[in-house]
Amino acid sequence: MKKIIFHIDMNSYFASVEQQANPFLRGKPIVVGGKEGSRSVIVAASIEAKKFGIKTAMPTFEAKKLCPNLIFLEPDGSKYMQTTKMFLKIFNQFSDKVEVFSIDEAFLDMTGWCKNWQSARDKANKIKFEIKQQIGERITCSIGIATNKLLAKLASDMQKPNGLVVINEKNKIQVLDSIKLDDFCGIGRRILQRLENIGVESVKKLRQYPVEKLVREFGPFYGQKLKDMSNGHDDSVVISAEQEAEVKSISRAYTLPYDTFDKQEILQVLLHLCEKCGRELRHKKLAGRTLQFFWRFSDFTHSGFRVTLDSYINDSLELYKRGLEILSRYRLPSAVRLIGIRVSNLAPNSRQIPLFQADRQRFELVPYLDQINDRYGELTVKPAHLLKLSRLRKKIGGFRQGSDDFS
Amino acid sequence: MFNKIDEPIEVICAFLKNKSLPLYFRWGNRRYKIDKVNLVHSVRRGRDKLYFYSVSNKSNYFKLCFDTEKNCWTLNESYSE
Repeated sequence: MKKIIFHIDMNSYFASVEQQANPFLRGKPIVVGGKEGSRSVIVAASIEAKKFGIKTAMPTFEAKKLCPNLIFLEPDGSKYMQTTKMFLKIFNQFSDKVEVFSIDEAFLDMTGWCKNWQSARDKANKIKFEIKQQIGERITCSIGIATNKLLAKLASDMQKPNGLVVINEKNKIQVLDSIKLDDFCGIGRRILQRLENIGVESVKKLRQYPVEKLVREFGPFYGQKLKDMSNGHDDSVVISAEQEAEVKSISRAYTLPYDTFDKQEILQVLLHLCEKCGRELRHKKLAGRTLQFFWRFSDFTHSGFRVTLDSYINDSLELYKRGLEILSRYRLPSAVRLIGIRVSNLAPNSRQIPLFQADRQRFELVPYLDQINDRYGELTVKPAHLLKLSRLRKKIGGFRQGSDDFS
Repeated sequence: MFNKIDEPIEVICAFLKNKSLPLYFRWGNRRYKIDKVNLVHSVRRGRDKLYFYSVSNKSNYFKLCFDTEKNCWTLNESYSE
């Protein structure tokens, strides 16, 4: 039996949630993403703002030029996360296999839940109705229905907003021949350029191109994958949250409000990020052995250091000490724009009680510090170095146990 | 235009089967009727749970917050044209 897969993409998600919350913003060009005149970029634009050519990731000053009446809203992560939980709850009423693809999109394996394409359409319309009823009239989504995830995602992109498109065996080739190569999820700018270099400029040409040559150019895995894409084949399965692979790494990064050479300032932010990373590791009862510290410079070049330790750690202070060692030896070639830490090579936390008294005190103290912060809120007890960081604190997204934060 | 407020308010609220709906609130010396609850979301701060109600009437939008630990309401922001 052929599979029936839905891809559901919420339209102009963050902006729509804001318009749902505040009806006076409806019908107006609004964007979510930092203050007007700041150096941040647009995170989401409303359908009305998109008509002015405003796009995601566009700098705020550029957006303001395109639309002088544009309304700027700061992102409210908890509001969007809560709305995501609400629509996922609806999706789970329709299928037992729901894969969260991002905060505003998901795949549903509807095989066995729909008899035929018409029944699939009816179910999709019912999902749209339930979203309106349970979340709000302003929250709309585009639903793509097909026999696999690749085509379902393509279908949901074809009609926005509030679309419903079915790609089946009858119209598959016609649809594939009408799209551009980079409409496929997985073909970015670089792959597109390489395809153009070998004379492949359309999906039709990709389909006709010998697979051996693609394998030679892109390797056995990606060469075959490109060929499959051109034929609309995809055998990847919908992975529900329960089946999801275990966590492979935990990372935190932060873009500074201005570029800086000031190592003290950089170290303060790094300590904050280590604190957040450490808290998440401990909450997940994990410890890591490979640490990567990375930074992006004002000219958008980046650099980083990776170190693999002899033992597993999850204490924030230990993470920070490693970063401090690296950063104090490193001469910054230009001003820093972004700082980040990634902990990988994870294993269940099974640390031994330290031998020495000083280490043992810290080892015993950390769980109590975590309990205080769980009880009274993030950074209630914090390293003294972070006392002056309140200005940045609000902007650093991160983990908080039991919270609705998602960043 | 948005106004950040963060002031305590008094609220008359209906507790229904599995949701709560603020109906009126008093801010300063004025009483405001709530016509519609547009969106509700919650946030945890430590053990505290805060509920945010995005509500509106004919001419204003308000964001109200109920702190379950302190058992009090605040008016966070308003928007009017």
